[in-house]
Amino acid sequence: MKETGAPQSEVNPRYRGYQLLYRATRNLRQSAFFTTLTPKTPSCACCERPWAEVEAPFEAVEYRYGKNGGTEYVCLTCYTPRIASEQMLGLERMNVTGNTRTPVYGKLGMLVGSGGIITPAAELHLTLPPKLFEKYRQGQWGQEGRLSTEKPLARLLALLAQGELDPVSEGFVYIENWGRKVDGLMRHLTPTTSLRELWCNSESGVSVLDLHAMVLTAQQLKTQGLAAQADRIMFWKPILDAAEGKRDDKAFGQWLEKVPDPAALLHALPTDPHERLKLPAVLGTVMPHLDALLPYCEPPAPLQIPMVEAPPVSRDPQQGSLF
Amino acid sequence: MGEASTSNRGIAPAQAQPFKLLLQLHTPLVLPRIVPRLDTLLQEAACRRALDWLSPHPLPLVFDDAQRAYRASQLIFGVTPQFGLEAHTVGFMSYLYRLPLLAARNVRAPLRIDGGDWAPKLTQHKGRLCPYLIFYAEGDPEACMDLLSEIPHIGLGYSRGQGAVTAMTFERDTQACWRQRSWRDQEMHVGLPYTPLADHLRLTPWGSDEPVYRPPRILREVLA
Repeated sequence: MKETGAPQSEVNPRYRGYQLLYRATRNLRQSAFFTTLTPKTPSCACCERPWAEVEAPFEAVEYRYGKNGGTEYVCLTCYTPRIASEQMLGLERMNVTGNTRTPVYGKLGMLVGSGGIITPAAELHLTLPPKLFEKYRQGQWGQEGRLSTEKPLARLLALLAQGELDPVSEGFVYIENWGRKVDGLMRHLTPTTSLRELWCNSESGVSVLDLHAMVLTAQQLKTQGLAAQADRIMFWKPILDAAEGKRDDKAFGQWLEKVPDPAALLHALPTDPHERLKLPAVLGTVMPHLDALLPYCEPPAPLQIPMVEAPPVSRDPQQGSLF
Repeated sequence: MGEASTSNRGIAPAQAQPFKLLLQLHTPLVLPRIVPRLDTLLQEAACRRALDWLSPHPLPLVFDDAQRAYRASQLIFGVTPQFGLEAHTVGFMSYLYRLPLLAARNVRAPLRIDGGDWAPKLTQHKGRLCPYLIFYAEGDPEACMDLLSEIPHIGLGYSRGQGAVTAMTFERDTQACWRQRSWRDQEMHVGLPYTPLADHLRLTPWGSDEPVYRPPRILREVLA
């Protein structure tokens, strides 16, 4: 169970994401130069956890946003993405000022368009765009084979298919985009403990994806012989339009004729309209790993009593019960 | 905020009835990390009415002594055959814990209306729009509607016009649908059309986090 997975009973299990990040980046901090001090504030300025509950209790680092910013005291976990690391990542660029050339080393909090996955065993995997991948492949993480050029979600599904994220209920961290705004990423770093709610952390906050429903939708597509349509926006157009509030009963009627069993497919779709907008992108990633992902999902519940009335739906599109 | 005073929280089950509360939703609702429940909304409304955010207030709901929680469901999106649940992207300034310009040490730094290069700009939030919001509960529905008039907006961005609601009507509920909220026991969710998830949440507005089983964040119900 989840509550037995927590290492200390005192620690709030919602802080599991911070714990995993802290453990996964131990080498990064060991090779860096920074001074810690005892904070004068009640809590970390970034994640707002009391100093007694952070991973390194009562150790803070001074931080300023630019030359005009006031001094802030952040915990070691929130400071970690701001640490420039020559050893773990490598040289980002040379800062040229007149005749002086200063090396600038890579930071986790400056990986734009890059993702990350931290497994329950606190192993960090990074996905980088090709240019950043070339830049950082000589670093220690690059040498350990933790970098890849896949998309973050594709890497996550591959790790899931390999069994690296087992047991899922112990919690793993999925970072969609490290970005440039560390405070936005670290303020609500949320771990994922169930595929029904995959928490996608990024620099602009955290959002939810129902991966369970996505896999069941992919399975429905496969059984109905529509696997080739999974990532086509034109196939999903009536569903995407309805999720944005632009309904077209005629197009929806034509779509119902294309699908062999529309009631079962619509029953499998995620409920949230924001997730339905991501259907083509996510399903295109899920499809190659479908067979390995199915064991993580419970079989779909039999159609509920209101859904038994689906045949009238296919005759006369009553979109209200579906959207 | 002690446990000693919990006995006088809520109203007697004899005076209460199970009901379904219907609210009209006028602007996109941005859900917080934790989905609002009727008891948390009523607690906030009672605080506003009494202008007192320090002491707990009695709510017109039944307090379930066995489960140590109010019988009040979480927010459910109510759709109709004409209008479904729609996705809207809402941009507003995210949580600012400090005004950087007020904390500035260099007073001659250029003053900019957007806060400068390092300040957070508009953040895109996920808003959801549908015609109605539904809450189920057991208690005094008229007192609940009266209290809810103190809450014109729900969710994130409530001070910026997001999630504008009007309490509209209530009707009797026969299915005990108030169980659609977080509980200590998984059995409380038996018979409901979703799979409960394990989480750590507080059960009452004044408690602390504990292991619970809760419904999914997005619940949707079709209104005839």
